[in-house]
Amino acid sequence: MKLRHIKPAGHGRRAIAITAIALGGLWAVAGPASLAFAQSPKPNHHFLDWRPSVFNTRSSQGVVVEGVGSGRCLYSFSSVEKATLRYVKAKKPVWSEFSPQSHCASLASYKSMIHSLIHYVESREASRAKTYWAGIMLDEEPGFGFSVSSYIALNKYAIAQTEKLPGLTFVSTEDATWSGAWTQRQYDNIVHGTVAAPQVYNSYMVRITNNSHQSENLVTVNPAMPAPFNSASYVLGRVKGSPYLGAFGTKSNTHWYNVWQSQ
Amino acid sequence: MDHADSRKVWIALTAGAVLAIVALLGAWPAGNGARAGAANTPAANGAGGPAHSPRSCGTWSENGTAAATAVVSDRTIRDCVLVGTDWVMTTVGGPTGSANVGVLRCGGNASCAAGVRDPAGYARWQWFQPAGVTGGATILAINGTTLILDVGGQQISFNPGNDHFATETEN
Repeated sequence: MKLRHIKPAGHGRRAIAITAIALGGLWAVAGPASLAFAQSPKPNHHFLDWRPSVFNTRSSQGVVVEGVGSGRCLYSFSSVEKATLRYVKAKKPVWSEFSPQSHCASLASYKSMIHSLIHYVESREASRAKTYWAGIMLDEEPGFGFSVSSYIALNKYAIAQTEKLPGLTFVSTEDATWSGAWTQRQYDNIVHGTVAAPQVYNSYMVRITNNSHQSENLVTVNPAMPAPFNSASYVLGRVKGSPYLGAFGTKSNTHWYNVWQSQ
Repeated sequence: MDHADSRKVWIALTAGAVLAIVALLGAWPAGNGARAGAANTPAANGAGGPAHSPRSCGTWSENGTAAATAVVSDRTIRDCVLVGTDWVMTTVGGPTGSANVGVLRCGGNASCAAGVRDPAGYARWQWFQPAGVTGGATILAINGTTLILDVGGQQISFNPGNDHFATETEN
């Protein structure tokens, strides 16, 4: 019998037994997901998309003002400013989102929008902004007409603009890629230094996210996607690392994910 | 290691395995499924759900499945959503000149609109691309029955009811 060739000392045998029980116990308490990929701790709050003309503080713990392209496209920049400020005044955790597209505005124009938005909010409600304005969310994708280097430059600019602000206001990147588009390395370089908010709508983006070395992800889920990717619990169970952390005026830290929705 | 010691080790391993089975049957679904997936979803938090909660496209729209490949074999399905009674699918990564906005009209066929079964059994996909624009399509937002798309870097609205693309500049 093979076991007879193992000759641990008396305390060694006890250690083996204790380890076996401990491993089983860990599995029992934390679940098999603890031994596989899963967001940890498990996100318990979520942001939800709304277009700027909608003011909704009741459907979720946090809000994303969906500005889409802005510039020459929907929605108007001023509507994003006003909606953001309104949520901040209401003490609602809020991201202000743009989807930079080359036909809507130039890279310089998007930088200008970021600068102006910060000035608009900070000059009117600085005290609450440091607690409730999560910051600027950028939806960047390979087909939107900007190069990888342009997105990197835009994100660096946004980081530089927000990191000097008091409180938690920062930059997130709600990015996606697919087979034949940005590589893992390109994705990594674009989201580097931001709060990554990957659109985890399929297995491809699960792999990209899990290989991205981001210690923290604000995972974006889409309930319209085919099962099982329409389920937040499924998606969050497949992404490793920590969720986005933000207290937003509460006494305890809260862990977040992000939900895209039909508006 | 004598027989008694071996027995102790095996008892310990068995105990661990039993605890693991308990976890599989009980703790895991409660931990991974119920909390994040149900209690915190908009519909379950008691505060009301999204205004137009989208119906999930069935597994027929999942990249790589036979049904999805039958719809598109040379590009990636980016989005799929039910708008009114029309399934709308967008694609990316295809050959230049691809039409990347697909519409399947269910009309009054509730089974088709339910999305559980491949709707291609009820109607056929029609594919559209705005004139003069090349590139993949992504759904950015949905405003009622109008989709706001990015097509090749251009933001374009699309009404699946009349297949009409438009560039909108006002909110």
